[in-house]
Amino acid sequence: MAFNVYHDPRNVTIGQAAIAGVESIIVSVRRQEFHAAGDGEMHESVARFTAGRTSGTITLVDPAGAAAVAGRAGTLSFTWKDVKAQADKTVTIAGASIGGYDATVARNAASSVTLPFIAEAAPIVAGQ
Amino acid sequence: MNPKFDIYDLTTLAAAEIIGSPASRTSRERMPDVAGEFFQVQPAGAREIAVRGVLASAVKTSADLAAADLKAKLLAIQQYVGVVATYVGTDGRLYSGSLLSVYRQAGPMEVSAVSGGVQALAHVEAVIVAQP
Repeated sequence: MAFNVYHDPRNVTIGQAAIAGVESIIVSVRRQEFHAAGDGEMHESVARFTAGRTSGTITLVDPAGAAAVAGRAGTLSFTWKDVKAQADKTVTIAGASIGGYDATVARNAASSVTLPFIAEAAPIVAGQ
Repeated sequence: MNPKFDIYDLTTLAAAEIIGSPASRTSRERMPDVAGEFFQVQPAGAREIAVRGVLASAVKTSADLAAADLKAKLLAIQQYVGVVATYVGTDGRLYSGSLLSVYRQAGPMEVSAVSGGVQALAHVEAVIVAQP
């Protein structure tokens, strides 16, 4: 059975601003739950997922670069590189907002920063 | 089963009732120098039945159409608030001469993907004033 594996997120942009030095991007899509049980029901007869919620975290190495894009909003876009040299994927998340950041700068380790984001649309994953 | 007011289903899914108590109607009188009270017991008053459940739209091709369909259903049932008719409970019991006192949405409307399209759902609640 064919499958694909991706790594190395590239070409990361929010609005018109590029985000350099990205190490990883977590994209989370969760849907709200709607539940109900009636008289005499041993199990919920209504259990549905409804509206989705998109959020995630971008991890990069550059605290100054992270500070420059914190608070920005726009379309978040990046590329997933195909490990097996097949077609890469472009992920586009419209209506994204980057919140603050958590920067870790240690004495004997490379700096690391996380940028949380939320978005008003589901990610669109498209082939290149 | 879905409770009905007259010929209208008050819910589509997950209907539940809370049967209230008949109201007691009693005249009470106290006499000087006599311990206790005298009660003149009258026939019982009405009882309230609280109904909750889920109202669902028809399956539509878009979320907007599903939401509009659900709102139309809700408003159609609300036209019977203040009307006296027969209420049929979730167990099929008939309560004749009942008043639909309240019928309202009890939470945000939500849409979900289902087989063949999109369906809108909302929790609803009703209050029936029934004869004892």
